[in-house]
Amino acid sequence: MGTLYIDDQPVEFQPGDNVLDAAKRANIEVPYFCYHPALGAVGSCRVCAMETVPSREGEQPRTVMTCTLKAQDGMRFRFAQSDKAPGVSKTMVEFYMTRHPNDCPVCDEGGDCHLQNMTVEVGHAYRRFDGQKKTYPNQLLGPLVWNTANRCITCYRCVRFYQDYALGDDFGAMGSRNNVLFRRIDDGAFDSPFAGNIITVCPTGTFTDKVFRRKYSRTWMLKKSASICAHCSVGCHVEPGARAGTLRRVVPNENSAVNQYFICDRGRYAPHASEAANRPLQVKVGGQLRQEPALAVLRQALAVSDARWGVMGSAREDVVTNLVLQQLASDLNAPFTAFTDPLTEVRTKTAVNLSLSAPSLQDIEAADCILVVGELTEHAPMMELAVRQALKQGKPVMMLHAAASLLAGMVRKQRSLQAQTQAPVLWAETLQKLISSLSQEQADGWAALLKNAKAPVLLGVAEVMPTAAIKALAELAAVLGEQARVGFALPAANSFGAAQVSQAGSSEQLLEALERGDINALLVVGADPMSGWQGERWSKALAKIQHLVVVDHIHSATVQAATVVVPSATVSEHNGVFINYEGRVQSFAKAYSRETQVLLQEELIALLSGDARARVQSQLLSMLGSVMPSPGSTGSRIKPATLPIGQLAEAVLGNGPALVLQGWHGEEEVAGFATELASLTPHDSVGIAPAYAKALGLTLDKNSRLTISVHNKQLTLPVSLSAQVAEGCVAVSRRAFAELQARLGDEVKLTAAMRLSEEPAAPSVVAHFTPLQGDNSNGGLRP
Amino acid sequence: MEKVLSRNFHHAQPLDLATYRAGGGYDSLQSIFGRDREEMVNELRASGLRGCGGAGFSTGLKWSFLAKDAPRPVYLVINLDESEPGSCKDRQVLYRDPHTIVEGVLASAYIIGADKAFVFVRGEYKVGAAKLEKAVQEARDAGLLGDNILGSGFSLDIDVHLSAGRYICGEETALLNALEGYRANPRSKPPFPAVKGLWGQPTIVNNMETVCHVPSIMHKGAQWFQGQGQNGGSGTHLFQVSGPVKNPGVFELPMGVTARELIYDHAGGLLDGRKLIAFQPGGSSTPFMTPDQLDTPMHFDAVAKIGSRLGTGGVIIMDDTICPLKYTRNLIEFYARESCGFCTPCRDGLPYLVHLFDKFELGTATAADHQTILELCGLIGPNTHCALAPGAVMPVQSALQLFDDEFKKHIAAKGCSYSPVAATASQAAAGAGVQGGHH
Amino acid sequence: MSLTEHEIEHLREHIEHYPEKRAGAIYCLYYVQDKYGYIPRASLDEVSELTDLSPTQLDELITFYTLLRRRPVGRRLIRICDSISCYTRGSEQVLAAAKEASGVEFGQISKDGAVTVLPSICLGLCDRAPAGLVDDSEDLGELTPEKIRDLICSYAAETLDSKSGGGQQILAVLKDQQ
Ligand SMILES: Cc1cc2nc3c(=O)[nH]c(=O)nc-3n(C[C@H](O)[C@H](O)[C@H](O)COP(=O)(O)O)c2cc1C
Ligand code: SF4
Ligand code: FES
Repeated sequence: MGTLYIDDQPVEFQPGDNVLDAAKRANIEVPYFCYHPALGAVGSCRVCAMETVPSREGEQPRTVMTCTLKAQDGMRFRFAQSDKAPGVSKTMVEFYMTRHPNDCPVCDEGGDCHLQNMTVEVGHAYRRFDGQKKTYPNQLLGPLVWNTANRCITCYRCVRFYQDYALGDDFGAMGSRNNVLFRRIDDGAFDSPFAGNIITVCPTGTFTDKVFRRKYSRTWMLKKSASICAHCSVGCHVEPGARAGTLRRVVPNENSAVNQYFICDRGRYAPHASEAANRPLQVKVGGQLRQEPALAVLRQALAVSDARWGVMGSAREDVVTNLVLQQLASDLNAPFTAFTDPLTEVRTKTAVNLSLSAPSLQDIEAADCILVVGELTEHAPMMELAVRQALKQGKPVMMLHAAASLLAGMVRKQRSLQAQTQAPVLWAETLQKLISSLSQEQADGWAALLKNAKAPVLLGVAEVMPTAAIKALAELAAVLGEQARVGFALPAANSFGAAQVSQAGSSEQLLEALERGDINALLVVGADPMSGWQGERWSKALAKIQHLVVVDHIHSATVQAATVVVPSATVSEHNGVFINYEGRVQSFAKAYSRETQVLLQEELIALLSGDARARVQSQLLSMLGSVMPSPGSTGSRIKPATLPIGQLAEAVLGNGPALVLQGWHGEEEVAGFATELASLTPHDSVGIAPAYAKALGLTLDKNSRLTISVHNKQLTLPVSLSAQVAEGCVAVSRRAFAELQARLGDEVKLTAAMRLSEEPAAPSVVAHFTPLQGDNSNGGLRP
Repeated sequence: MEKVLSRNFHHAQPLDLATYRAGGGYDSLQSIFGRDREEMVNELRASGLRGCGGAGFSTGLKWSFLAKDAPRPVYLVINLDESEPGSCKDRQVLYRDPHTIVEGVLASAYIIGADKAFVFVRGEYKVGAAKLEKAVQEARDAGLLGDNILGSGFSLDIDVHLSAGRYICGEETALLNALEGYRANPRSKPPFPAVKGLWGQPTIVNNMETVCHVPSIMHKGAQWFQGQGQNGGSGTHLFQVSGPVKNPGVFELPMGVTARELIYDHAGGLLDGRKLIAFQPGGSSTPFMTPDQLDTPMHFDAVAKIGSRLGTGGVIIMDDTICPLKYTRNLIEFYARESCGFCTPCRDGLPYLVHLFDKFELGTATAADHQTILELCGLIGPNTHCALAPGAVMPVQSALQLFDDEFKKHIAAKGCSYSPVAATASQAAAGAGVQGGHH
Repeated sequence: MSLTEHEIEHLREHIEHYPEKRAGAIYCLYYVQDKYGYIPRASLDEVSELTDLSPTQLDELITFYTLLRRRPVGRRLIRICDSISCYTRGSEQVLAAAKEASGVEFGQISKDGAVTVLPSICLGLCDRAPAGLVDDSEDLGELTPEKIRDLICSYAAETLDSKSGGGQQILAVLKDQQ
C-alpha cells in the first residue's frame, strides 16, 4: 500500500501494482492498448505514457510508460498529453491511424472498439498523414473467427493470449517492422479450445466473431443480460446478445470468482444451437404442428386419463425447473429423475458428495501441484485453462488418462513429468498406490511432488471415472491434508443441482418402471435419454409407451420420438439458477424473448398445485440458503448434506480392449446443434496406441481401418494411432458409442478392415511464385 | 601507439594457434589467472575502456554490476552482430585474427567468472564464424578451453552462434531473445541482463572489440592502456571510414585521434573534386558533425560534448554530390525497415517520417510537413521500447538543423534542385556511378 | 524430402547443448535451408519434432529473421547492400543493374534459375562499398553496374552441377512448376 499522485490527485496503490493498475483502480482514464489485466503489460503500444513531475531542482521531466512502471510511494505524474501538444498518447493514435482503415461507419467492431474510444479520448480527430495506407491480407481462420488484417494495431494481445496465456502454439506473430501480422502458418481453424478469446482481447476489429458477423447487429442494439454458460459444469459468466428475438453472439462477462475475463469456444459458440434450423419452435402433437400456447398443450397432455406418469428433469436445466418437476412428479405420484444414465448418476453424486473443498478456478491457477484424472480439456475447458496457468509457471502437473487429450499433450511436453495413460478400471488402484506411497518415508515421483506441495489441487472428470476412482481421488486429498483441494468436472451445467433433487438410484428406478410397464407415460424436460449412455435401453423402453411428452429446445433423438413436443427456452431466453461444480449458486437472467412462443421453464410452476408450489419455495430455501444471488453476481457456495447414492456395478477389467471415450472440447449435448461449432467435430476414428496394437497382433498405419464389434454391433472406422491412448483401451467418439450401443468400459473385439484407398496424394506444391513486391531484404522471401 | 586488435592483420591468413601463441598470444592469461577478480574489474574501470558496441558505457563499471553471489550459471555473451551501417570493424578481427577474439573472451570470462560464453555472430559473417569456430576448436584441443584451463581451476567453453539476420539482434536484450530462439524483440529493462539475462541468468553482453581489449589491459596495465590514447581518450580503437573517400578502411588508431587526421591522413581524404559537407562520426545513428568540427578528438566524451556520439567509431562521409535530404532519407528508411515491429512509435512512426521525406523529394512537401518531421522526431525518440528509434531520429534531427535551408529549398522548388558541385570526371574515376542531385 | 537419421541425430546433438530446445531452432532451420536452398513446409514438421516448437512458431522465427526463407531462390543468391556507405557510392545503380541483368524483380528467381537478387542491409563491408555478398559467403566489393552485370552473366553460364545441394533442388522445383 502507498500513495502516488497523478495530476496532483492522490492515488492509492496495492503491492505489486504498476502505475497504470493504480490509476485504473482510482478510475482515472488512462489510455492504453497492449496492457490487459489478465495478460499484463509489455510496453509495446506506448499509449499509457505519463510525464514525471520532477521532485528535485534541475531534474528533467521524463516520459514513462505507466503500464510497466512499478508504483512507488510518493511518485508524481502528469498526463503527458495535458501539457505537451500534441502529446504522446495522441501521437501514438495518430501513428496507428497511418495504417488503420477509416472504416468505422461500416466496421463490425464499431461501438465495441477500444481504438475508436481511445481515438476520441485523446482527441485525434483530423488526419494529417496523407500517404498510402499499407494493406495486409486477411487469413481464413475457420468457421468461428474472422480476420480483417488491415485493422490490426499490433498490440500483441492476441498472441499473448493465445500462446502465452492459453499455451496454444498454432497462432503467432509473423513478420517484423510495420509488417507484423498475427496468423497461423496454414489457413484454417484453430486448435485451441480458447481461440475465441482473441476476439475479446483484440482492441480493434481485427478478429471478430464470424458467427455474429453473419447475423450482425450493432452492439448497442443488442439485448444483453448477465447469464451463465450452460455448456459445462464450470458455470462461466457470459453475456448473451440478441436482436429481433434471435441470439447473435455470446461474450464473456467479467467477474472475479469464476472465469474472470475469458470463456472457451464451447461457451461462446454452443449457444448458437438456439438458431439451429431444426430447433423445435412450435408445439407438435402426434406429429402435427399446433398453434396453441405451449403451457396449455402441456397441461392437456398431462391430463390424459389412461396415463401412469414418470417425470425426467435434466442436469442441463436449472435448479428451479428440476424442483418443480420433482413436485409435479409427486403430484402425479410418478417416479422422478434428473439423470438419464444410472452410472452417470452414481458417479455424479459420488463426486458431488466429495466436492466440498472443490477448488475455484483461481485456486487451480494458484496451485503448486496438480493431479488431473481424466481428459479434463474435453469435459471442462475453462477448468483446464486454469490448469494451464499453473503449468505455464512450471508447477508440476500430473495427468492420469485413457484417451487423447489436449492437456495431456501439454503435460507431456513439460520436462520430466509425463502424463500417464491407463485404462479407467485401473485408476482407483493407481490412486490407492499413490496414497500408500505417501505414507512412506521416501516418497518419490508423483507422491513426492504431492507431498511437498503447499497447495495441491486434485481434479477429476466424474463422467469417465469409475466410482472407486472418484473416491480414491478424494481419499488422496484427505491424506494430503487440509491444504489439498479436490474437485470434479461434472457432466452438465447443473449436475450439482440435479444431484440434490433426485433420490438415490432415481434413473435406474425410472428405467425399470418403464421396462416393467409400471408407467406408460413419460414427461421429459431438457434431456435426451435416447442419445445417452443408456440410449439403447431407453429407446426400447420408450418405444412401448403411449405418451412421450418432451420439452426441449434442441431437435434431439428423444424429441424426434416424442408424441408431444413442447418447445422450450434456451438458457439465454429465461431466468434460472445453476449450481456449478464447486456448489456455487449462480443465477442467470433472460436476455431476450423469441418471436414465436416457447415455454419458459419458470412457467412450469403453473402446473403445480398450491401446496406443491409452497414446497418448491421451501425446498429452494433449504437448498440454497436465504440468499438468492442476483444475475451477474458471483454467488456463494452451498455445502449440502451428503446425498444417498445406492450401489451399481461398474465395468471390471476384462481381457480384450475396453472402449473409452474420445471427447473433444466443443462437444456437449446442446453444442452438437450449433452448426458452426459442430462443423469442427473431429472425424470419427478409433484411437489406439501403436504399442498396444502391436501387442494385439495388429499391423497398423495411418491408412488402416479397424472394425469394432460389441454386442452384435459392428462399426468400421479409420485408425488414429496415438500414444495418448491407454494400453488395453480403444478410444472412440460419443457418436461411435451410440452407434455401437456401447457403454464406457465395454469390452470389444477388433479386426482389421479394408484399408483406406491409397491413391497417391496430389503432388504438393512446395513453392509458388507469386511476384514479390519490391520488398527488400526483410520480408522478401515469404511464401 | 601499439596495435592491439590489428596486430596480426599483416598476415595473409588468420594465424593458427601455434603461430598466434608464438607471437605472444594467450600470454595475457598468465597475468589474469589467479588474480583477484574484483581488483581486475577495478583496473578495468581505471583503464577507461568503454564499450565499443555503440553506447560507450564503461566496461569495468558494467562488470561491477554483476553480483558477487550471482546465481550460477553466469553467461558472457559477445555481440558480433555488427550491422550498424558504416561499421565494419568487428568483421576485420573475425576474418583476420579469430584467436584474438578467443583470447579476449577467455580473459573476460575469467574476470567476470562466467561459466559459459556465447559469441553471437551475424549470419552474413558465416565464413568468419567458421574461422572463429576453428580457432575455438584449436583452443579446445590445446586445453585453452574446456575444464580446468591450464590448471587454473577455471572452466569455460565458447559457443559460436550464427544469427539468422536483422539489425535489431544487435540490441543486447533482443540478442538474448534471438539466442534463446525467440523473435528478437528487445526486452523491458529493468531487469538488466547483469541481473536477469540469458535464460534468466546473470549475463554480461559486450561488443567483440570491447573484450578483445581486455587481455592487453590486464597484461600491460591500465596506465599503459590510457597511454595508448590521445587528447583525453584511452586505448586504441578500430576506426572505420567509409563513403566517398580515397582510402576507405578500418584503422586502429589512438582513441582521441582527431577526425581530421582520421579522414584526411588515414582515409586519404575525399575523392578528388569532392567537398566534405558533413560526416557521421560513429555509424548511421549518430548526429552529423560538420567540417568545422574536424579537429574534435574522436573519443566518447569529446564527441558527446559537441552533440554527437562516437558510437562505433565508423565515420561516414557526406560530400557535396549528394542531396542531404536524400542521404537522410536513406538512413531513416533503413531504421524503418529494421524496426522489430514491437512498439508503435518506431514501427509506425519511422515509416511516417519516410513518407514525409518522400514528399520533399516528390515536391509535394509544405512547411507544415517540415514542422511535422521535427515534431515527430521529438515524439518518437524518447518514447520507444529500445534505443533503435532514438538512434534513427537523432541524425534526422541533426539534419533538420544543419540543412534547414535545403528543406526550405525543396519546398520552394517543389522537389529536389540539389546540384552536385563536383566534377563528373572524378565520379568516373571512382567507377561507382555516384548519384548526384538529379532526381 | 526428409532429413536422414544421421542428420536428425546431428541436429539433436546440437540442440542438446542449449538449456532449452528452442534455442537450437535457428540452427536446424539453417540446416534445412542449406540442404534445400530454402525451408520447405514439410521440413517444418520435422524441425518441430526436434525443437518442440510448432510449425507456426517456427514460421514466427522465419518471418522475423531475414536470412531464413520459405521460398526457393536462384542457384546464386546475391545480396547487394543499400545502406548509407554503399548508397553514397552508388549502390542504387548497382542494384538497378543487377535487377535488369536478372530480368526479374528483387526476390524472384531469374528465368534460367541462375540468380536471385536482394537488396540488403549493411554487410559490414562499408570499406569496400558498394558491397555485396553471394550465397552469404563470398564478398563482393567496389561493385559497379558493369561488374554486377558480368557476374550475373557468369552465373548464368554455370552448369547445373557446379553447385551442389540447393542448386539441384531449386531447378527441380522450377521444372515442376513448368
Ligand atoms: C538497435 C541497436 C543495435 C545494436 N547493434 C549492436 C551491434 O551490432 N553490435 C554491438 O556490439 N552492439 C550493438 N548495440 C549495442 C548493444 O545493445 C550493447 O550496448 C552492446 O553490445 C554492449 O557492449 P559494449 O558495452 O561492449 O559496447 C546495438 C544497440 C541497439 C539499440
Ligand atoms: S524501438 Fe523499434 S526496434 Fe526497438 S522495440 Fe520498438 S519497434 Fe522494436
Ligand atoms: S553500408 Fe554497405 S556494407 Fe555497410
